[in-house]
Amino acid sequence: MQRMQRRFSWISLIAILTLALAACGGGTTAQPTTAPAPTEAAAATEAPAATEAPAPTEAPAPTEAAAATEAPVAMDEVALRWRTRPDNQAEIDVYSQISSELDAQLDNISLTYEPGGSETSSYQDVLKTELSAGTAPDVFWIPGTDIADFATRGLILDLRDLADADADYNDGDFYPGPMFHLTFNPETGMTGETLWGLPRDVSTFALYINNDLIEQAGAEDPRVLAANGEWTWDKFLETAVAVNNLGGDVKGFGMNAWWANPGLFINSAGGGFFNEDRTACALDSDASVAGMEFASRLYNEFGVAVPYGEDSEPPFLAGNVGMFLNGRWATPGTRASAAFDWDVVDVPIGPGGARSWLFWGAYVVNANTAHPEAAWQLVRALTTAETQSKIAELGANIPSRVSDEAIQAFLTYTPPANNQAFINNLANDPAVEGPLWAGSWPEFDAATGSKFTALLNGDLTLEDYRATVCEEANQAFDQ
Amino acid sequence: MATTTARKPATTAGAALVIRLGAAWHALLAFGLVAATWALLQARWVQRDGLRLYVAGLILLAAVASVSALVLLLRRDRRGRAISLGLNYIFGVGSLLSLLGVLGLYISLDEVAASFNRWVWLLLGVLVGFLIGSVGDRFTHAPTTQAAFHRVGGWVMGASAIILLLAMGLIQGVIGLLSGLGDPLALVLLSATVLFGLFFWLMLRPQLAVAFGAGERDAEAVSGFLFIAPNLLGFMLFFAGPLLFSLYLSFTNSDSFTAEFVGLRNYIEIFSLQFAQVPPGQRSGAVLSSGYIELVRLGDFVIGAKDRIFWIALWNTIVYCFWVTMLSVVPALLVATVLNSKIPGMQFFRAIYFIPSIAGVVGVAVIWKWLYNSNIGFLNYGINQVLGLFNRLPFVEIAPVQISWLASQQTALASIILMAAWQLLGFNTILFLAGLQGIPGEIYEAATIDGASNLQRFRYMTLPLLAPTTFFVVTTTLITTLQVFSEPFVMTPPPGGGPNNSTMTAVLYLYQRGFNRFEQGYAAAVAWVVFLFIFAVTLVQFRIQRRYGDM
Repeated sequence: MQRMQRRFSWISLIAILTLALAACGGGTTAQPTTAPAPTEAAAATEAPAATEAPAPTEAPAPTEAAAATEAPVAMDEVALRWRTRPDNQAEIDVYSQISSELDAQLDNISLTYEPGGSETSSYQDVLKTELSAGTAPDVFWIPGTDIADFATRGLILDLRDLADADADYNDGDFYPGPMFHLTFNPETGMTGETLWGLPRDVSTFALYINNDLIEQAGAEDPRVLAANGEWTWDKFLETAVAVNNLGGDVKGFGMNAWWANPGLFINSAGGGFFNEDRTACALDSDASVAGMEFASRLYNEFGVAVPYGEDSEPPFLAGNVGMFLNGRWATPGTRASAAFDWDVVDVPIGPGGARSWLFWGAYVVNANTAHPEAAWQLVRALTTAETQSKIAELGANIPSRVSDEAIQAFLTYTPPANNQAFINNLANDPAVEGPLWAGSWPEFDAATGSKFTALLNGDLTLEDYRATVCEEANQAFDQ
Repeated sequence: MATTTARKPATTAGAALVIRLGAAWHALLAFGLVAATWALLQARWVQRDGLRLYVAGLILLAAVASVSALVLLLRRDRRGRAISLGLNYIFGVGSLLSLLGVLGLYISLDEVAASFNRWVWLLLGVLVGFLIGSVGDRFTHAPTTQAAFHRVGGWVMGASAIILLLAMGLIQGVIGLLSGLGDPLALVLLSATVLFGLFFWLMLRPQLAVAFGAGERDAEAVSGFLFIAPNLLGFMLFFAGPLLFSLYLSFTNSDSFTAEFVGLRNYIEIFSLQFAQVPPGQRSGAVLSSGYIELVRLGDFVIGAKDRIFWIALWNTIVYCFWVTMLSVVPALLVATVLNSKIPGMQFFRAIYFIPSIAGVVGVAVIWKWLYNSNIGFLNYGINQVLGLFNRLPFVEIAPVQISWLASQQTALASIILMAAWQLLGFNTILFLAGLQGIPGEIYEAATIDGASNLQRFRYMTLPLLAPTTFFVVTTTLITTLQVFSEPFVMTPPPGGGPNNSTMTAVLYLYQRGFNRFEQGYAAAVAWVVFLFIFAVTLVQFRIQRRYGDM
């Protein structure tokens, strides 16, 4: 018995050692792409344009390009990892497909696509942790609100020099709102001086409507009202009350609990989150408070809304909510799950107009990438009209390029039939989702979020809300 | 005692040489470590000051230990041998692990795993060989045939294993290893591994033990330490190390990328409170200093805090801890008492009660989140169905309810408490059940003969005899609940901790400060305050338990 045990121990030891030996053979193939070699990276960033970047773009003729890239020293293929935050498997599939196509299309660049987690699985938190550990991908997507935080901490690369050397690139090809922040220089306070990334897409809010419930309630068709310019807060409230009066589990209106939803009412009342130079909280201004007063009445006075803090999407998809405020990203889910007649309509007109949001996020380049030029090429390739149209076709977002062609193509991606509502909301002076260059957005978001919730759930009076909403929020700004 | 220290152990010439060599080795090691500390402090490539200081401190500590070993070895002090063994072991293992890293072993493990998956079917050959050998066992009457089967079986097994290893890249591995050893760093690490290993082995030799007068107990201690060394190293590397590093971070303003020493500033901000009197009709903002926000108002008095959310989170954690402990311990004791009875089918019920404990917290939380949904959740649906039954009675008309379980600040924390208590109940029940089954039945029989009622037996016998189990259950439940994170994180998603911070807990708060806002230094300080709080609670419990046990 003892002999057998000893023999078994020896066999196990030999097996482990030989497996370890086998492992020694593969070490050369799996090198990290964000090699932290500081000298290499520094050299590459200091002299970005001279050698690699311009060659493929400025000399599109195949023979010349080949000569430029394959010249005297054989250039090794550059491996890049990139990541974005897809909302569902269909998007993951499309991004994976795009990655494969670009892999074949981009000379000497090998791509690995990593789908990031969803918002609820803390995409940004994971990314920040990876950046801290030095294992983040070369190119990644971040929401517009995070640009300042990442840029001022030096986590993302200023691509301005690379862009200037790229003859085909023009800031004006993209919506100006996102580009204002993407080209903002925090050192000088001027815009147009830097380039922190390129917008992946844009989006905006619209009201997803359950036509069956609205018709059953005998309310006027919001689309007709919107077309006639009569889709006001009063009409919106009337519709919500009428649907709510159907009784049972049916609610007139629903929106989810994050900053943009109450923000829509603040914007449409003529208010805003920040003062003009975005250095202080402006949620206690008369206009901002008026917006929140209206929102609060929906919940507390008329009781027509799904309780704030509850996810309104499932009851809407279950056919229990008349109007659901959400962005373009809710379209694929609605297409897949709604078993009723649905469409979208413009956001209602408040005292300050019908001001929706312009949401955006951008592809940015890891400041520690070993291959800035290749990363820039990838960012450019990911934001071409062709690539964006493939994503937009899924229905989750709107191309970030300002072009009639892109808009016309977007209008054909139905349902919803009334895609024009999104375009109207984009054209109607939307408030741009923007980072806080003079403060901490996560801190501001956390401080104000709890106040919105307290007010909309009736735990805080409007007077107390006005008196306290900016108290904690102002601590988010640089002192 | 005096005799053992007075008698000088006999030292052979060989042992004396090893001791001198060992001392020289430790002198060299100390010099190298001091030089490494200096180089690290000068290094510009390590951008993180905090990490650099921390590592430099550890290296310097090792240098001091090496010098101590040198001095004590020369004095023939047993402690010198012990320190030498420890240092050589730690550095030997460290060098070996680093060598494997340089040779690319770790980053290739995935490939080996993938390759194994590809070629695993070759293990069928091993199985065939085993079966051939097993067939041979049947020929007990023909030893030659039996031996032949065993031999052939062994060959088939061995050949299959070798083919598998070759297919997995053994030859490429050997080539990779040999070419990897061409790297100067790999050679240095290999030399270090060999040298540390050699001195460890030399110090372990019986002659050395005799030279230092080490007895049976020392030998046992060395063996004991060697057995626990892998675990101890893991503990030091992955638990104690980061723990100490977090303590250092708590005195900095680290944002994960840079760190400046700020002393006690983080702790001061956490504990900054201000008490003030508020004249009637005035808001607290008018009387509190700048930076302070109203935490709680008691009549005309207001307490302001610089970090209001920390106190809210701490309070929520205490409330959560209290209620979850109450609701998962007391009912667990009652359920365990019932499940302890010898009724047919009780095993089934024991399993049923235990099931929630083995389910993942996140999965359970997601399911409960749906149950709690005010519009389409089963909980409100069930309540309304019951109300519907009442409404069938004459003159009764109760309106349907739509409770916002997770959306209202009045009910959100209570909803999470309910779910957590439900999940912990089963585990605590099993612990109590084990405790109950450890109580001898004779005691109950004697009490019954003495005329004790069921209640008296439970009060005066079961409860005192279950005291150690109860202490364990309460302590583990308290510690678990004071660290609550997943439940509020999943059920009341960010930003913030639920409606108006009503489900913000201490650990969730430190996570948000550390990973959401990049304030790792401040988050580390919060973590240490929470740790001290949990430690204090446990200590108080120990005291109470001791007093209770003495009575």
